[in-house]
Amino acid sequence: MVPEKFIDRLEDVVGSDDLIYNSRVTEVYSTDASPYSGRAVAVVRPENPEEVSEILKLANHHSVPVVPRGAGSGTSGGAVPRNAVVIDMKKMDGIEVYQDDMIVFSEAGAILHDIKRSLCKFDLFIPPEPGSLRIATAGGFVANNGSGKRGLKYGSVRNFVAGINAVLPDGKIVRITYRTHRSPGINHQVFVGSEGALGVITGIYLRAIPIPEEKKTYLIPLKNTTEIEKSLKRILKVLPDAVEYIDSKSSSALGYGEEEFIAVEVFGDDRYAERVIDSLGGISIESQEEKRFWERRETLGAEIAKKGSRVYAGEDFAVPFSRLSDFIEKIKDVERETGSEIFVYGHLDTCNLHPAIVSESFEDSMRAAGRLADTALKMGATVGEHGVALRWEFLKGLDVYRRLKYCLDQKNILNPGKFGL
Amino acid sequence: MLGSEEYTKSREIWSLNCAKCGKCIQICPTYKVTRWEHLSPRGRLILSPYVEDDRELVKSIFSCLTCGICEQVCPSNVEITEIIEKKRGEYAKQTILPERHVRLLNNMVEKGNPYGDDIETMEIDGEVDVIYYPGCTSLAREREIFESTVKILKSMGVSFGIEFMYCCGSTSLRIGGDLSYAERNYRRLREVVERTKAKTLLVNCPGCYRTVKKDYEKFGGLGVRIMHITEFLSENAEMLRLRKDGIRVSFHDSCHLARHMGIVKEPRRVLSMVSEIVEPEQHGMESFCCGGGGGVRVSYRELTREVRKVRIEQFRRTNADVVVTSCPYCYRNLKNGADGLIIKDLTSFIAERLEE
Repeated sequence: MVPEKFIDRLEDVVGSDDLIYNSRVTEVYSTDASPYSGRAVAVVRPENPEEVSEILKLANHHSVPVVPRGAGSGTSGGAVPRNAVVIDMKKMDGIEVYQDDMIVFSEAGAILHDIKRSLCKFDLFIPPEPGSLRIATAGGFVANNGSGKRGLKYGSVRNFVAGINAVLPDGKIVRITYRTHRSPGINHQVFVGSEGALGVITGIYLRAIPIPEEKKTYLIPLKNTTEIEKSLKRILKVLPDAVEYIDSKSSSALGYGEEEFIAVEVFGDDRYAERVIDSLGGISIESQEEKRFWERRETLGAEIAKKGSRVYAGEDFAVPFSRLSDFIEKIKDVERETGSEIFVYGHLDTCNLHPAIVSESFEDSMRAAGRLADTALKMGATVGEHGVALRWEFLKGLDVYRRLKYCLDQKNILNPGKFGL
Repeated sequence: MLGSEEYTKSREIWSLNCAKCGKCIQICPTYKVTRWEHLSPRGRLILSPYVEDDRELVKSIFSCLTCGICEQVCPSNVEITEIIEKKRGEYAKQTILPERHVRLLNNMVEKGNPYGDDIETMEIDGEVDVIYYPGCTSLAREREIFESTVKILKSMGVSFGIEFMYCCGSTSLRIGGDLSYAERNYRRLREVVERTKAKTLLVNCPGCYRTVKKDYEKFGGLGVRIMHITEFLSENAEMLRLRKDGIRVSFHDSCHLARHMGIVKEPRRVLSMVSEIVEPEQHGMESFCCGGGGGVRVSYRELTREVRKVRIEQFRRTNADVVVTSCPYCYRNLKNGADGLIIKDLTSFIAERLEE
């Protein structure tokens, strides 16, 4: 239990309108888009870094664990609290575009799609785009070092983080404010991918680039999974902007027939890319059809869940390129053995696959997820972009992380229980 | 098993095939104005296994506008509105209700309508082609809608009669009350249909429309074509003699008429006969609620005011001369927060433009 005095002091900081305590509704803040749920003892909504600082000073003083929360769209349980106070960041959602610097400053609670729309007014964009674009917050995306599509050519969001404002577990506010397209040191990068365990990100300076004038999407059918590596090698040589894999089940869910395929996005008028894609039997999709495809691809995971009242678990594995078709075949073995249905799709340019499990019960889905994880680990795979959080069996170099965590958060109040600590 | 076991206790929400993706959150009007997740569809679904006397929990369940916009974007096809309405029924059975909801349900018991008024009853004598059922709001609160409808029907030369004995039961159903009021009116209307040999039953209110056309199916249907006034006018447009004045009109789609019942083109067809239509950024099936639906205006007025403010701003940006709606309840609510905008019900707007 948290001391009543602590709750009273929290109320002094944010006011009673932005504090929930002793109510069933805290259960909403005890889960995210993962299958996991924990327990939020209270929910608090700061409006500025100073309030975040006051909350953390109090938490540190009373040794109360806290978990920062964005949209709760993570699938690894990063925002799931274990008897902790949840700091809901969604009221801090300011966005400011520095057009001439091609930089956008976003508060942690801003929705990625709102950032995209703000940049679009100045013909700018940030290439990494997750499927949760319309849901996820900037803070959550950066804290998970997310990527989504376009990973090979542009990398993850880490490559676009120019500076960060954060509050350390003892309440110290740090402002690492670069508005440049190059920035020195690892200071701000420490928070990227830290999953809310090293500091609470309050604002991010992100690099943007000009929106290309032309953009094309091609769909390349695959006759069988074994030819995927051969085709991918040829596709990657043209350095396309995004390459996505859709297996036959997902294809059917999207309304594109029963055949598995590769979707390729190419910016600009690239004749060479077009010739290579053409030789692989690719066809282009345009205007509304293209828009529809990418929009439905965004929420493919949830579309899959509508197949009956079944339990959905969205997985995330970065696989060595050499094991790609092997891994997809193994997923089918797991599907046969466990009786769960598994849809496979993902970002082929980074070999980051998202098997989506649906089964009749929570236990069945979790059993299939466990089998997939065992298989992935044996193949040298790791988590891709959904965060480590409660799936810490994938984390290597835990000792380095443990030392870093101890330096910044000696009382282990920030998002404890994640990364196995 | 992945992760720590304490994180993986079974959850009832999964039986609803909600993937918890969160796509419904940003689009929800009550989330938009509060940014509390427990006042969003995903939050409400997570809380749907519970019936407890907890102020915030009760607010979560009873502050849903039942506008249905979440169902437009839900990739998993979760029928959120239906789940919420069923859950409200369970709360009502245990008399765990917001205070003013209790008063509203008492009004239903004592006076047979949500306003608690003595509303005049009307009965049809003889046979007619069309039964006009005005509903409580048009009769007891926004009388001009009733009078305009009568004026329009007369100008069209329609053979009609006016029937109003009981409330349709919509409000009760939407906030968790029982089916008895709906069933009572169903029996009454079925008797009137048989007696008058009418082919059409005409309504003004999208709440009545949804209830009579959809919910009365549970009792066996009425055996008559049920039409909203906008449908009727659109289908019989050639019988309307209207003055065109080129005014710029923006149309507010009521949630019940558009999303619940799919009526979107018809009011626009009628309005385009006399005016130029300018659409707000959210319209048709993606329309934004006026803030008054689902009983929210009764007990959570601050939410109604904030949602309405968002909607009014959407209309202000259209620079339309008039905002027209075809729902007496939306009309009443928008008018109360119009902040300088002119709000009209479609029937009044059309009646004013009838050629003498």
